[in-house]
Amino acid sequence: MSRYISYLEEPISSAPLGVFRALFGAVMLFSIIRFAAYGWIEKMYVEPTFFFKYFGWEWVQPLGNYTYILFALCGVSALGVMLGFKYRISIVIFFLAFTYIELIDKTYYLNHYYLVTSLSFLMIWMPAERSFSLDSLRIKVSNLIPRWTIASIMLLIGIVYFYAGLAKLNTDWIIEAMPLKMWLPNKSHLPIIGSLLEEEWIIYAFSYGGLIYDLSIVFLLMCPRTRRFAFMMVVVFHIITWYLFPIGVFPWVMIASSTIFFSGKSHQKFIDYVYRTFSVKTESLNDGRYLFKWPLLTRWIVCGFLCFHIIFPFRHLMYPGELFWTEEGYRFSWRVMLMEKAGTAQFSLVDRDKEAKISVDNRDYLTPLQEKHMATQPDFILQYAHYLVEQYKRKGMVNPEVYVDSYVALNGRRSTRFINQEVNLAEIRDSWKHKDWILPFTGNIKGF
Amino acid sequence: MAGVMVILLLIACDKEGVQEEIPSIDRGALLESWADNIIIPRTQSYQASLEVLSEAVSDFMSETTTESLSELRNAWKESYRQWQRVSIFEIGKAEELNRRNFTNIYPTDIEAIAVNVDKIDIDLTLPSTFDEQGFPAIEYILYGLASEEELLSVLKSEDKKWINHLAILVDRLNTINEDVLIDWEQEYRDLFIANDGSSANASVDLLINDLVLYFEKFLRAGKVGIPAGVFSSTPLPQNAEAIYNDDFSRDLFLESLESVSDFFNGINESTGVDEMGIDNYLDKIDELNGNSLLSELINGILTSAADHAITLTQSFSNQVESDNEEMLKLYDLLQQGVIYFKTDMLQALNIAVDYVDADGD
Repeated sequence: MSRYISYLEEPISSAPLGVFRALFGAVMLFSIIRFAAYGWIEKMYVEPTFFFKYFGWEWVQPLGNYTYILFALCGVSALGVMLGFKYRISIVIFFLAFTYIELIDKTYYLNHYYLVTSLSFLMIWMPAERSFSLDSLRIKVSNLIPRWTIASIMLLIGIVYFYAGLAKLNTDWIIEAMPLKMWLPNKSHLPIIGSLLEEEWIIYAFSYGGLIYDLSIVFLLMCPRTRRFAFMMVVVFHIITWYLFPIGVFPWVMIASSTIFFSGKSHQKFIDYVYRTFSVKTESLNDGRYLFKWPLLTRWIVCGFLCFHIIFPFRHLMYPGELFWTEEGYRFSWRVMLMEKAGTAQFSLVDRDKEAKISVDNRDYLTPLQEKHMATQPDFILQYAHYLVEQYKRKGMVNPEVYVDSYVALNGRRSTRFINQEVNLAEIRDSWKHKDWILPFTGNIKGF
Repeated sequence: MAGVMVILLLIACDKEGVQEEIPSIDRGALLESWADNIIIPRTQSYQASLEVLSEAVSDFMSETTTESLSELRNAWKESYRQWQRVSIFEIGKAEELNRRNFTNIYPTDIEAIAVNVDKIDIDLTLPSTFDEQGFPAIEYILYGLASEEELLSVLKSEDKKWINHLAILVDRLNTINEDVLIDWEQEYRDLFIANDGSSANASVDLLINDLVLYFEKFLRAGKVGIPAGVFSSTPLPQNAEAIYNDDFSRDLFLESLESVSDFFNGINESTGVDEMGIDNYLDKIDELNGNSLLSELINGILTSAADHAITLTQSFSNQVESDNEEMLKLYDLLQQGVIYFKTDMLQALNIAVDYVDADGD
């Protein structure tokens, strides 16, 4: 045990972490600017009247027009992270601001946003400003850092890829080539490769290629002999996904993150090159003195955080039913590109005293995107049902009951009824327990 | 995905080429078919009918007789029918001008109309005036203003101010659609066809979302669900379409349903020939997935809805008052249609509802 600990504490070059920090900050800055430029702040966080809260985080409130300030804070702190200027303060502010934004509405949950939150949390605890930063030019410190810092980032990236690969080990992906079989033929308008995308063997090649990539890429990145090839694959893979699918900045986050696997020497060469280009003078401080302290609390926080990431994605094993159907344990588990799901949910409120039944037009309360996500995810359906009850109480209905007539289609199967239409959702409380008011999946998916 | 190597390898192995059984998915060809076979001809027919309606109003103005009134009413009916065939296409100029809201919002605001008729200058371009114009407002003047016996004398009274107002309302319909048609004929057609991608801003996605919105909100809810009381605690027969005319709302509904079905199946508006449509696209996807055909389910439900609607009385408001159960049956059939359109079809066509990032659900 102590051998492992001393291995993890071994001082190594901080160059990979410095470059990683700079790239991470740059991608985040780009991501924030892009988000604002598309008008999404307004559309997602200012305009809607209702927000889907995460279970346990209901206290997070939308900020209306102050959301712009939060985004500005996020952008400025991302710049601070990128430049390594007042690093600790920058990364703490970035983590808090970014995470708060994500918690406002789970409609916009994306795995790579969760990755950003996780990475920025991890980075709070490590001295990522020791190399390639304005801070390191101002204050003289050793540019050696303990190995656990870089190793824990590698582990998190490794989990993302490997778990994404494990999640693809199911019959829909392997045998049916779903959902790629639904997605790729719809891309046949693309130049050059377009006409190939409706060929069955191409679709299977994409499926298997993706699976093998996800499962193996981290090991290829770890091994010095295959690293260059692996990084090339990372770039090619993510550029293809960027070209084919609307996945935003995810490819850039992953390409930037994968650079962490390169050696201190390679990174130092890159840093020296940049410094030379901008004529920055540095003194070598690599004098072997090890100046970074690793407080006990930090050990426990980082260790606990990584254990959480290893275990939490497997929580779906504790729920009965098909994961893709119920989505109990689906989020926060690196399940990407696995499903094509669509649904309709027609709610009605029933007033027993007056024997009245009123159907709801979801457009009165939700944006099209919110409606789309709500219709396929049970926790959204429940939360929205409760919101409707409040709305109709306000309109004068006494003790309204609420029912939903909902249908969902998953990975190319015909739509079937999703939620038990006999259950009064007003009486259901959300919890971590299995939602027995979801009707069983009629299809058959085997696998992990 | 990243199996570029795998792909290159497979391409290398597959020099023989592939044999195609089904025509491949060609979004550009689909868009061309929609524009040239359906949308532009329908917009032209609607425009032609509006011009006839304009003529009929001026004829009625110069000779206010029972005969010219009947001509005018027929012209109104024909235009209203043609309108049902273009209402789906709230895209491009039509969307920009808010064509649907300025053309067919009902129930119409008869109090506002009574005020408007005496105004010298009225601005009908404000969103607050949606329910003071269009076909429902014209209908009110032609059928609801006074009893059948008195109508002609009312219309003649006060320097024919009502006929003047009719002319203003018809003119407004004309102007809006003329702009839409000119845009389609001059610029928009090519832009529409060239925008053949697959994202929320691509033509296919925009128009399919338009179709779903139209079917769910304007056809299912507007024409049937709302008057039948599905969205309220009591039935609202006064909110049906064409309430001042006792025999027309069922025809309008059937026309609207047929316009959806013809669009879905790619029926050429001019020749009646079944060309490239959403159905062919879905069939290709179903073939790939080894599924039974969704297009058959959709056509089945559209046919059932039409077959049931035929058995209802010609006036939907009367139907709601006399036997609402039958009206609710029609609503249920349409709701089943919504499920097919909104879940199965949107999934198969991989339609994006909005331009945002995703990580594959």
